[in-house]
Amino acid sequence: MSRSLIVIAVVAGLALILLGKGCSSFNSFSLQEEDVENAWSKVQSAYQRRSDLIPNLVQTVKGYANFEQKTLTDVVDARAKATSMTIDPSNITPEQLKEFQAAQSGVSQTLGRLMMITENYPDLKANQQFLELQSQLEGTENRIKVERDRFNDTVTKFNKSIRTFPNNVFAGIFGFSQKAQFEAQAGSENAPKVNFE
Amino acid sequence: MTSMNSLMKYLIVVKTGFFLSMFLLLTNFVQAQKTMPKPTGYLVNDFAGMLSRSEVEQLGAKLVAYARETSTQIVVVTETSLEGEDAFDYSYRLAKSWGIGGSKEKSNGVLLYITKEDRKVRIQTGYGAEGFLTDAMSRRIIEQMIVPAFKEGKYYAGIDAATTAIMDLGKGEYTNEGGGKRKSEGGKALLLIFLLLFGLIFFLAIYNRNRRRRNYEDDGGYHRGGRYDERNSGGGGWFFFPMGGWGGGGSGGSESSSDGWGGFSGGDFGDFGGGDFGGGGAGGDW
Repeated sequence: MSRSLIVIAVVAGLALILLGKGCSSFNSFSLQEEDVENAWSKVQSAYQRRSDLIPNLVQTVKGYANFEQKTLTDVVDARAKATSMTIDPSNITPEQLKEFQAAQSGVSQTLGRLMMITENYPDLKANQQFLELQSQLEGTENRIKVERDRFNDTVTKFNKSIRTFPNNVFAGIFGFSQKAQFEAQAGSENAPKVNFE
Repeated sequence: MTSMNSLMKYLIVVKTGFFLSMFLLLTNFVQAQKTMPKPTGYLVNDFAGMLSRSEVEQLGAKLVAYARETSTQIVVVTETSLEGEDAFDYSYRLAKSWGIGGSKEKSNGVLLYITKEDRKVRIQTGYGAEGFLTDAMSRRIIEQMIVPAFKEGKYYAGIDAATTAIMDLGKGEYTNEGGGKRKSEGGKALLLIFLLLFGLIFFLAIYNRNRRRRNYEDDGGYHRGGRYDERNSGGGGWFFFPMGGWGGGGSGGSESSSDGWGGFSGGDFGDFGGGDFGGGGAGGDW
C-alpha cells in the first residue's frame, strides 16, 4: 500500500519535472528561433541596402562615355536575380541559403569587376557623387559581413542548445531542427575592394 | 611507504603543472587576434602617444561636454600597431566590446580609431549614429580633415577638426536625459583612495573576525561570496588598483594595456552605455 503510493508519488514527481523542463525548453527554443529570424532580417536588409545602391551607382557610371556596357548590364542582371529570391525566415533550408548566397555573391563579383574598371576612369574617380556611392558601398559590404557573422552566431547558439542532451529529446518532440548557416566567406575575395588614395 | 606517497604527490603536482602550462601555451597560441585594451572610462585614449597631455585634456573636455549634453559618445583611440589585423575588423571589435554609446537602445556611439604605424584611420558608427554620420560623411571627414593634417604630422588638428565635424552632424539627434554619470572630476581620485583604504580596513577586520569564528561556526554560502575570499586567487581582489584612470583628476597618465606606457587618456566619462555597432563608417590611410 504505502509502497505503491511511493511509486505513484515518484512517477508523478518525475512527470512534473519532465513537463516543467519541456515547457522551459520549448520556450527557450521559441525565443532563440525568434532571435535567428531577427538576425536573418538584418542580413536581408543589409543586402537590400546594397541592392538599393546599385541603380544609383549604375546611373552615375553610365554618364561616362564608352564605359563598358557589358559590365553594367552584368551588375543589373545579377541584382535582378538576387532580389527575385525570397526566403521564408522561419524555414531556411541549407539549399535555399546556398542559393541565396550564390545569387548575392554573383552581385559581389559583378560589382567587384565594375569597381575595378572604374579605376581606369580618372574623371569618374574625381566625381564627388561617385566617391560617396563608393564609400556607401564599402560601408554596406562591411554591414553585410557583420550581419552575416551575427546570423551565424545566433544560429550556432540555437543549434548548440537543441543539440545538447536533455534538450535534443525535447527538440525532437517539438519539431525543432538544426538551422543552416552561411558558409565561411566563400567568394569573399571577390567582394569589391575599395581603395582611396 | 610515506616517502612513496609524497613522491607520488609530488609527481602529480608536477604533472598537473606541466599540463596546465601546456594548456595556457596552447590557448595563447590559438588566440591570434590582437588583444584589446580594457575600457579606461575615458573618451580620449591616446595609447600611441600621438598627442600631448594638454591636447588630450582639451579634446577630452570637449567630448565629455558633448556626451553630457547629447548622450552621444565620441571616442578617440590611438594605438601603435594593429599587429597585422584588419583595421575594420579590429576597430569594430573594439567599439562593440567597449559598448560605446549612450545606451543600448540609442547605440549612438562613434569610434575614431587611429593606428600610428599602420597609418590607418577608421571611423566606426554605432547603429544609432549611422543616421547623422553616414558612410559618405565619414569618408569625407577622413579624406578632407584627417588625412591632410596627419600627412603634415598635425595629429591634434586633424582629430580636433574631425571630432568637431562629427559633433556638428550629430547635434540635435539625441539629448541626454540621464545627466552625467560621474560626479565632479577634481575630488574623484581622493575619494577613490579613501574608499579603497576604508574597504581594505573593513575587509581585513571582517576577515580576522571570521577567521577566529570559522572553526566552530558553519557560515553557509555567505562567505564564499565575500570579497576577501578573492585574496586567495592571487590578489585578484584588487586588480583594478594599479590600473590607469584614477591618477591626476580627470586626465592622469593612464597606462595602455597593449602598448606599454603610451600616452595619456582624457575626457573622464565613466561607463559606456553598451551601444551596438553594425559596421557603418569609413576608413582611410595617410
